[in-house]
Amino acid sequence: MNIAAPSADIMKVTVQRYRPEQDNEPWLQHYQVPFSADTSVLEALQHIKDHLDPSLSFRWSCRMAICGSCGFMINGVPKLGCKAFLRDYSELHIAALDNFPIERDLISDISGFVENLETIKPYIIRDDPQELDTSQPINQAFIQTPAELSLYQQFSQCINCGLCYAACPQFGRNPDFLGPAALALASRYNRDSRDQGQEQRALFLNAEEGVWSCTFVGYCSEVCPKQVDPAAAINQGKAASTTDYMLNLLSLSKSGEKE
Amino acid sequence: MTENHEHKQTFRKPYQHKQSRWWWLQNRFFTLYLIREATAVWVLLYCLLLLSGLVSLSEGEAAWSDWLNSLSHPAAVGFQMIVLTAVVYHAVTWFKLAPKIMVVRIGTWTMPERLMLIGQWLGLLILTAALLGLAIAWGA
Ligand code: SF4
Ligand code: FES
Repeated sequence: MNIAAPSADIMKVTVQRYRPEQDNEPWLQHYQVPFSADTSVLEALQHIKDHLDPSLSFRWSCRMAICGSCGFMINGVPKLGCKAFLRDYSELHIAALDNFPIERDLISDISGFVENLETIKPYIIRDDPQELDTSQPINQAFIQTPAELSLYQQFSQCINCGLCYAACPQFGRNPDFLGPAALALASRYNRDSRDQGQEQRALFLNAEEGVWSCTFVGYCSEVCPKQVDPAAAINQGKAASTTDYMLNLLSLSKSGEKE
Repeated sequence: MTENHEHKQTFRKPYQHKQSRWWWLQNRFFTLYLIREATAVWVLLYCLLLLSGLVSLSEGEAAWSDWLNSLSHPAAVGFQMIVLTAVVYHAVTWFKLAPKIMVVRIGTWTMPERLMLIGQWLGLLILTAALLGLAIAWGA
């Protein structure tokens, strides 16, 4: 790689640092980074780590917007570092994702988010597990039409990058809120024709920390790099939650009639 | 084993940032959202104004016409203009969100967002015209 080509432009890059063994709060460090038209923010960070300051810590893996590990606040906006390019900025300010505890430098502790994902049982649930022919893959045991697939496909594109959590003021206020991606994923399984777990998930979705904590700020859908549109998933979930409630009332009154 | 344990050291000290009271000034998107939410306050105030009208109506004709006249006071007109702006802003933003909340699917056909938007505005126009027509017919 010809990094120090004389024709390369230089950009001022400000990076938020936090070293738990020495610092009590984050602080800012400035670097001068050479770049060309195809330099991504992630590559700028790699340049800093390789040539200027090996102590800088950040996460990355795929470099192609698929693994979801390189989320940062880039000039105040949650973005994937590998999908943002220096050519679109005149100056860069890179910080760890908002609303998550900072583990070190640009690395956020996203374990709360991962727990929320687990809470909503993001897998296909069947009433009778015995009926599953385990010798066959599920797509052969339960055939699905393209129309049935289209009902949830959009919501299955999530890469768990957490950008939507950094964009959500309700999650910032209350980390117990299940949050955009987890609720979108719940919606994805609830819409799956092979799944029968709606009732089990309703417990979490209808709770205070479920869909009702969302006030439709909508910024999550704006920043999502995969067009999942979690805000739409959640607010359609509110309709389902209300129907659930009404049906419950109805069945309650019915069981009352029987007596 | 215990010995081993004592030698283990962790520097983990996750830094928890506290959400600022001014988070809604952080970007335009948040600010516009909060303005949308705040329109509810203006609507509430307007409801109170209407309620006071109802009260004065029950107090007889003099009170009622006093109330009616007070509405054309410049301050009252200003207030009503603000309420109107707030309600229009609320309608515009919510109409935009509605297609996300309610997906209309007939068979494999999904109603495009644009069509829903147009439908909502048409509905509002027709209802407003009908109400106005009624009010004018009533007055005549
Ligand atoms: S919904 Fe979008 S922004 Fe949120 S974690 Fe998934 S891919 Fe990332
Ligand atoms: S490095 Fe995988 S999403 Fe950016």
